Amino acid sequence: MGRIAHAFLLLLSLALPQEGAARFLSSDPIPADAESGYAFNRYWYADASPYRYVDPDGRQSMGPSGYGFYRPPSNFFSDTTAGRFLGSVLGDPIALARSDNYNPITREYPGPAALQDAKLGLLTLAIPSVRVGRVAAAGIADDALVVRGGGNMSPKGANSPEGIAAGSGTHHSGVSGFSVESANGATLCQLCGNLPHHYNQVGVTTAGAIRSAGGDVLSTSGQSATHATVTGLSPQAASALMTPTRNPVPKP
Amino acid sequence: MIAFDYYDGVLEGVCRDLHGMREAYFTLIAWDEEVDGRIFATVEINEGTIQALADVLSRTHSCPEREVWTPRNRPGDPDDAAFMEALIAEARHRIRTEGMLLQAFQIESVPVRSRRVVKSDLARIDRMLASGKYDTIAGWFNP
Repeated sequence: MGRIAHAFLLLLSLALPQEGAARFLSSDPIPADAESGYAFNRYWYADASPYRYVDPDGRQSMGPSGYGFYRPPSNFFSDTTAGRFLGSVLGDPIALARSDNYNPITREYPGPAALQDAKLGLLTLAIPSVRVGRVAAAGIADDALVVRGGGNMSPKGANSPEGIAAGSGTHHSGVSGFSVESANGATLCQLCGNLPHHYNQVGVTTAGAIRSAGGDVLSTSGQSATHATVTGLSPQAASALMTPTRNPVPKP
Repeated sequence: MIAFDYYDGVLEGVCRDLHGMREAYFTLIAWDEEVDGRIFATVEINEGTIQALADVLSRTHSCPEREVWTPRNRPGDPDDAAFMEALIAEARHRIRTEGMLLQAFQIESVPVRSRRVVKSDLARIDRMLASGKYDTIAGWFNP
């Protein structure tokens, strides 16, 4: 089997489960880790990766040995040398073929500059003896935490449907939605520390969960370097995704 | 409107036609968890200030295509940065004598409550503006 054909089969195996990410209707009793944010989405099954992990009683995912452990999200293309090589060659050109620019290989949303680079990369592929370099990708990855201050029980809570509707507007960049804090690799504490106001309670989810629900989260300028905007979700759907979590950062 | 800070709406900035003021500076000073709990201190600024600021920011930021403009960074040029900081400092100083307090979640919305800044507010306003943090809304409108 050729390398390209193999790469596309791998691509299919990664992309298809994301399309129909099934979830439970009731929340997982295992609480979120305050520092890493692991298990913050209490509606996920088996780390949202049933091909890699099992979750016999729905409480906590386990590896094939049956021993529960913490693992950051990972995949072939980011965790192995061969995967990184294939991703570097095929990565952003894949995004060019999608209407939403999502890149299932790098699991990122390339910015306009990266997509332009990718187009140039495709041109160079068509010209023999021209070396193809790594195409940089930008954007918030699926496994990035998304934090929004406020509770969701009271109708005036910032994570209630009413609160999300009140906070929604059109950012100067043209993105319509509501404000959150999110950045690749940022911890729950870091994101809570960047909130402009101390909230006793915050809502937590991931970029991947938002995308699985049909929305998106985009980095937008704001009061902090991790300011982002969630777009494409109804206030009700967004509120349901925001798992209520005690703010781990003490009030100053 | 040119926004200096943004979270669920503009937190600080300058805009035209704000509650009877032709050009105004505004900054959030108090914020509670509930969505109607935002109090802004506002003051009228000299006409032409917004255009002058837009001219300065246009040197280092792409020209705004939308009404609300949120430059990610303050101007890199020291003279431009000084212009912006002087504008903010003067406006904040004038809040003490000519300012208005508005309670509204979004600065563009019709305020739930409003009143003029009075002498007894000054220590609290100064403390909030100096700290860069936000006060609670308790006590600003209800004794």
